[in-house]
Amino acid sequence: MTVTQSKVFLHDRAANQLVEATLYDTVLERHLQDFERAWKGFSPTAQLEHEHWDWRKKVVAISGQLGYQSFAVECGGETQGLMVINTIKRGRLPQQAGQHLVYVEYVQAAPWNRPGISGRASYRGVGTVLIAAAIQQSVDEGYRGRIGLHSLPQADAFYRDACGMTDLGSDSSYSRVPLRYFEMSEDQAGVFLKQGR
Amino acid sequence: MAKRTMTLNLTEAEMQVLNELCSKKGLSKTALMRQALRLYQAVETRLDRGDKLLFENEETNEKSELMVL
Repeated sequence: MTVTQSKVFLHDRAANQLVEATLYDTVLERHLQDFERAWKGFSPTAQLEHEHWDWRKKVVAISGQLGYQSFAVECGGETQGLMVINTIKRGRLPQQAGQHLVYVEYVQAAPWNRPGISGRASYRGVGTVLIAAAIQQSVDEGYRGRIGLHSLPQADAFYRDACGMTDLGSDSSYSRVPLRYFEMSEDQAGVFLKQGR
Repeated sequence: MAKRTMTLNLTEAEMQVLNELCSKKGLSKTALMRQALRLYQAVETRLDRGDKLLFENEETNEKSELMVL
């Protein structure tokens, strides 16, 4: 299996400067080990909505499925973020209804990257790097940057305000707990990438 | 990801459908065939698990099972 690595940048909160990081287009075993050892062993002060997620189970579940792809971000010798995308879903925005898009199934930054964490290395921009990777994959697939996702409530503002995605409201068909569905059009993707949000 | 190349022989009718779908979806032939393969695999995986493939009309609430042979 060929793994592609790309250079990306995160903001080191302690040093207040951009630092080089690496984006992988596949989640590797060491990323899952980081998740199991470091992520699970870290206790943030606030309750995180996705702390019950088991990334090994998620990665095993999509293994060999062509419609899915996983990504990881490394910085400072640790895994800083993980993402799984789905490339067979379709858009809902009127201007792109029925057109294929990249659907972000799961995306999570390491728990120490939440704002307000001190006492260890912490990076800002992990979510932005991963969303940019989803947009780039959408471009590479011929989907012109279109992406979609269901957001956990703690992340609604990030997708709406920081990413500039359209909020299509609460989606009761998603699961037992309705989540808001957000979608990004080709134009919104262009703005996101241009502004380097 | 590394990519491999193959030649695909299609009938005129199949090529016409391929062209129509490419136009409708705004995709290249390669992108559309890759999408078709992903969908085919996803359907097979679900059927192998014992799931059914259903279509639902939201206006009429009518559900129909797609028979996959």
